[in-house]
Formats: sequence, structure tokens, C-alpha cells
Amino acid sequence: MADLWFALVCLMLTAFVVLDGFDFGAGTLLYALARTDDEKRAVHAAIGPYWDGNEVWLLAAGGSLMVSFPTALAAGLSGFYLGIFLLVWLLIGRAMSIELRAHLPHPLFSSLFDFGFTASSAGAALVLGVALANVVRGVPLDEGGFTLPLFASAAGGAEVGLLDAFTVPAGAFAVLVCATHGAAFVAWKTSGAVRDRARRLVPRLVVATAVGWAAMLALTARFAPAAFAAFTHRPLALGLAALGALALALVRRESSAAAEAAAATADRRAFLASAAFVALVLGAIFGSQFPYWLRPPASSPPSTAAITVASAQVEASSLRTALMWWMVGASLAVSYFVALFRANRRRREDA
Amino acid sequence: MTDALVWHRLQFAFTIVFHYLFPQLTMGLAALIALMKITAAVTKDERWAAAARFWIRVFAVNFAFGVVTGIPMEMQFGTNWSRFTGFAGAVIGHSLGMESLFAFFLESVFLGMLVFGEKKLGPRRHLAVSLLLWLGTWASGFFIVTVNAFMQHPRGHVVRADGTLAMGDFVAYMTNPWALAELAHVLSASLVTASFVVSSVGAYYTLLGRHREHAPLFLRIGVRVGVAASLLVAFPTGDHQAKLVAEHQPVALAAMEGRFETERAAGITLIGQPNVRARRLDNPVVVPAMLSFLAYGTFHSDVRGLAEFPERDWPTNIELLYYSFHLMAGIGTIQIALMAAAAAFELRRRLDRARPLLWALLLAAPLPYIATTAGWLTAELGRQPWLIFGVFRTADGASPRVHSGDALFTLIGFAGIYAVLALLFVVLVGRIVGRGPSAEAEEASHG
Repeated sequence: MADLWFALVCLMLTAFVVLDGFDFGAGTLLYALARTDDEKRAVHAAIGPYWDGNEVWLLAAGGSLMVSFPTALAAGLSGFYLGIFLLVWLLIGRAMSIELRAHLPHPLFSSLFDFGFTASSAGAALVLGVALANVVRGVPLDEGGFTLPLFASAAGGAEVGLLDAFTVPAGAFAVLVCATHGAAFVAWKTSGAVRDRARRLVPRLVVATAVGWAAMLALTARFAPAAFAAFTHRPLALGLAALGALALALVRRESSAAAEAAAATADRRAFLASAAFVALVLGAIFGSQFPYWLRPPASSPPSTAAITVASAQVEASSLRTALMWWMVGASLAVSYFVALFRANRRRREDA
Repeated sequence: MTDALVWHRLQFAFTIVFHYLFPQLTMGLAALIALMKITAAVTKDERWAAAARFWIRVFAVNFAFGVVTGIPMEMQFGTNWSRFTGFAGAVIGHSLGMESLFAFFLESVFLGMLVFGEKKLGPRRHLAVSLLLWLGTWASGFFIVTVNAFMQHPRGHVVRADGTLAMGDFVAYMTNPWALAELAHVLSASLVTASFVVSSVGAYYTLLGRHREHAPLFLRIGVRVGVAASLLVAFPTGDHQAKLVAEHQPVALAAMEGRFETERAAGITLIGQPNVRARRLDNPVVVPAMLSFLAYGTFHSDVRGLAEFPERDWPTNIELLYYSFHLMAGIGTIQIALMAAAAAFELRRRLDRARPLLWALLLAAPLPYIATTAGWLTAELGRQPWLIFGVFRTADGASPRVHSGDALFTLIGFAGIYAVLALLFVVLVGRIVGRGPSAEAEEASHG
């Protein structure tokens, strides 16, 4: 039952990244995709119906983690204290930028809100990538939780920090992945010049993502050997990663096809492939993490505590009760999203 | 460590007070918007549809602010109160998980349809969306109230071998009698807030002589709901809440009333200053035997004083608790009087000429916000020194590894960010109110 809940929480986190990831990406690429005010509005309009609901998946994942592994949530959030608040403030900044741009049309301040939207979107993707990398690398835990210095030496020694030689590149990689995903989404959901730019951008971003991914694997082997060993020894994780590579290749193929033939259906296929890529990469990471919520870093003594599925789980009866409402609630949530994507199926023609 | 606890508490208190300025209007306004839309459907009066559209614009802005200030609340369970989360997360996690799945998704997805979808959906389905959103906002209120009710009056949990809590009886947890009483009180209060805000805007337009078609509707629905809700918030919901406090948290009741000694046929204090050092209430103005009656239903029951409880179980800030409670009760009384007077004029169709009363309604919009804040301060200060009443102390709940400087840093950060948010909210809602409910305003807001 606890293993199932590990999977469910990972699934919800994946849903959050797949869904809000394209919002982050669209925000990150705002200036690359849109030049005029109308074009920027088209990018905003593309994510407009979705971003608010997408963000809820983060809260839903948090609630599910609390009910199933409360000590993992407690140690993780309090240990990454400043990082979490940075993320919270960036999410506030993003929401305010989007809302203000819609409600306060102003020739001068609109560009300020655009900048805020881009900076907070890229920043949030970066922080999330850094956080995930910290979890993969491990943290120095004891009974009270853990604290990490904000920075560690970039030389890449034994010292670990919230931001260090492993986590910062991982954050950058997360921005890149979200950007690719966001470009694929914008290509699908807009028209005209914005769509053309997005279509041209996706194949190039895919190449950058592939290179970045290879680099991240090398860095993981170097800085997070335990996670990397789990990855290379588990058929599930390797299989998901292989499928992820396939999905990434598919993104490139479909987006190139969309650019050449101006085929809207190819845009949609490219976006779906990109969503699959994000989900599969996260699946491979979570598959390598199991059964650890928080593992000790390579540099710490072997006796250092860890938070695992077994150590953090709560009573099976409680998990069974939670599974009841979870299944009903998650089905409702999925049905809302299906309805939402259907209601907005028609390509926006205002760009 | 002790001083980190102060910052943790102050940060939670500050961020939750600021946050709750928005949901209290969201919950009440969702109901009023649905009422306006139902009235429009029944009477076929286009003015009610326009009124609903105007308040949907306000609702959307208010909702967005509620969301962005709500996310920090969810996070703080883990960041600042990690030992509390480790201790009770297996219980309260049920509520927080359900709130996301059953309320937040519903609200966030259907809000867009409510704001932008009227033409596309048609009047019937748009009305259905407004009802769904009403349901979502009140469901959200219910789930979060179950968490607070558990902290006030823990029900349904079992204690594990290691001392932490597990879910024992899920149904008992969800149907905690405290939660149902608290929900009724909180929802009535949210209707008070929304009806005061709607009346205030109606009074503003009427005094200015603008929007003569819609302003009377705002006043009509605002004042009628306002008088009913102002009464409901006091009786039976507030009364019931007070009786629960008297029964289960007698030490909190003693502190709310600044009562140090036990007394038979205890009087209720209208005015007075608690003097904790001297253990007495200075300069009290008392109505004899009323407290015994209100708390226990008879004039001759004993009301226990603080002296009967060990000092380590006293609420940690008796003065603030006392003033909060009396402020809430005092404003609650003023709200009833004001709305009753306004309703008397409104029912005779003379409110639009009663300028002093319109001025009072215009200026009264902040009152329910103050009363609600004071009410929550009463509930939460009265719960101290416990995080979960009788089970888990507040001092044991904070994150052990978060440095006081980090907690202070984020508190100051929130103070700055929320100052900006408050300003932006006033600007955004001010623009909507300035444009008014006319058709041209609708064009402009979608242009």
C-alpha cells in the first residue's frame, strides 16, 4: 500500500511538471516567441485557461504526500526552507504578472509584466530543477531534519549545498526541458507568426535538450553515484529513459514535419510526445529514487539517516481510506482537465 | 529556539490573516453571484444578469489574490511547522489532500468558464457553472475548517506507539461537531462580508447618482442577505460556537472574558481591561449573570476562572485574546444594528434617499473584515498554548532546523510582498468599481 502511494505521489508530481511545465516554458520563451503586443497576448491566451489549474497539481501532490508520508514532507520542506519560499514568491510573481497584464493594459507597464512573467517562469523551473537535484543527490539528514548551506563550492568537492556543482546545472536543464515543452505547446495552441517561431524553435531546443540530458547523466554519475547506480541497475528506470529518448526523437520529427508541412495535427503530436518525454524522464528519476524520499549524499558517513517509503509510511488503514477519496478526487480532476482541453480545442485565431 | 518560535507564529498569523481577507469575500460572493443569476433567470430581468457579471469581475480578481496568498499557507505546514506535520500529518493530510482534489481543481478550472464563458455556454449552463463554483468555494472552506476543528477539538485520531497521531476513525474526524459548528459560523461570516461589500458599492453609486439601474439591486440583495447573515453569525452559529468553547475549552472562555476567579451567575463584561499581572479585570462594565446564561444556558451556572487552571495551560496572550473577542462581539452587534436599519428603509423602498444610512453602508465595508480577523484571533489565541488542544503544544510544533533568522527573513519578505499585493488589489478592484456594471464597462474589460 505504501509503495502504491509512493507511485501516486510521484504521479501527481509528474502531472504537475507536465502541465505547469508548459506554462513555465511558454513564459520563459515569451520574448523569443512574441515580438509585438498582440503576439505576446497570444502566448498569454494560449496558457490562459490552464495555468491556474495546472498549479493545483503541486498542492494536490503536497497534500497526498502529507497524508501518506508526513515525515518526508516535513523534512523536505523545512530542509529546503529558503528554496521553498523562493518558489512560492516566484509563483506569486508569475500569477501577478499574468493577472496584471490582463487587467491593467498599459503601454509601459505591460512590458514590465512581461518581464515579470518571463523571469518568474524561468526562475520557478530553475528552482524546481534544483530541488529535484537536491533530492537525487541526497541531503545530510538526522532526526531533526536537515539544513543545507545555500551555496557550496562550484569546484565540485564533497561539500553539498542547495546550489552546488550538480544542482545548478540540473536547474538549468529543467529550464531547458520546460522551454522545449512550452514551445511545443505554443506551436499547438497559437497561429500565425508566433506558431511559426515556435515550430522553428522546437527542433533546435530538442537537440539542446538531448545534449543537456547526456550531460546530466554524466553529472549524476559523478555527484549522485547511489542514484545513478540504481538507475543503471533497474530495467524499469532504464526502460522509461529509453522510451523518453524515443519520445524526444518523436518531438523533433513531428515538430519538423509541422514546420515543413504547416500541419496542425503534427503540432499536437509533437506536444504530446514532449509531454511523454517529460513524464518518462521523471518516471526514470522516481524509479531510481525508490524507495528513498530523502537519501544521504555520497559524501556522508554510511550511518546517516534516510527517509524511505518504509520509514515514513503511515498505517495501511489510513492509506486505504485516503485511496478511496483519492481515486474519486483524481478522477474528477482528470475529467475537468479533459473537459477544459476539449472546450479550448479550437485553435486561437487572434495572433 | 524560543525566539524562532515567535517568528514562526507571527509569520503564520500574518500570512493567514492577510490570506483570509480574500477567501471570506470569495465564499460569500460566490453565493451572492449565484443568487443574482438565479434571480435573473427567474425574473428574466437583464439588470440582474449585468449585476452578476459585474460581481464576477470582482470575484475573479479577489479569487486570484486568494490563490496566490493561499499557496504559502499550504507550504508552511512543512516549512515552518515540520514537527507538527510529522506529528499529525497522517490525520490532517486527509483534509488538505481532499481540499486540493475536490475544491481547488473545481474552482480553478470553472473560474475561467464563469469569467469568460457566458456567451459560449448560454445562460443555463453559465448558471450551473456559478453554482459549481459556489459549491467549490464552500467545499474548500469545509475541508480547511476540518483541519482547524481538529486542532481545536481533536476527534477521530489514535496515538501511535511513538506518540505521533494516526487516523483512527475517518468519519468521526470529518464529522467533528466542532467543524460543523465552525463551518456554519465561518460561512455566515463570509456572507456578512460579501453583503457588506455589495451594499457598500451600491451605496457608493447611489450617493454619487451613478448606475441608477444597478445600484438599487446591489443595495437590495446586499441589505437583505446582510441582515439575515449578520443575525446568523451571532445566533445561532456564534452562540453555538461559544457554548462549545465553554464546554471543551473553559480556560479559553475564562481568558476571553478576562475572568480570573470562578463565579456563580457570572456576568458578561462589556468593557474592561484584563490586568494579568494583578490577576483582575480593571474598570469592568458588567451585565450580571449573562455569561452563565450564554455559555451554559442557565443564569446560575458556575463559570470557571483562570485561577482554576494551571498557569502553563493559560492562553499565552490573554490581553490580545480578550480584546479580539470583545472587538468581534462589538462589531457583530453594530453590523446587526446597521443592517437592520438599512433593511427597514430598503423594504419601504426609501433607502436610496436615506443619505446618512447610505454613508454608513459605504464606510462599513471594512467592518466584517475586522470582525472576522478578530474572530479568528479569538479562536486561535484561545487555543494556545496548544497547537492541538490538550494533545500537542505549539512550542513543540515548529521546524527544529529552521533558524530564527531564516524565519524572520521570510516573514519580512511576506510583509513587503503583501504590501504590494494589497496596493495592487485596491487598484484592480478600484478600476472595476470605477467602470461600474454598465454594458460599456463589460466591453472595456474584455477588450
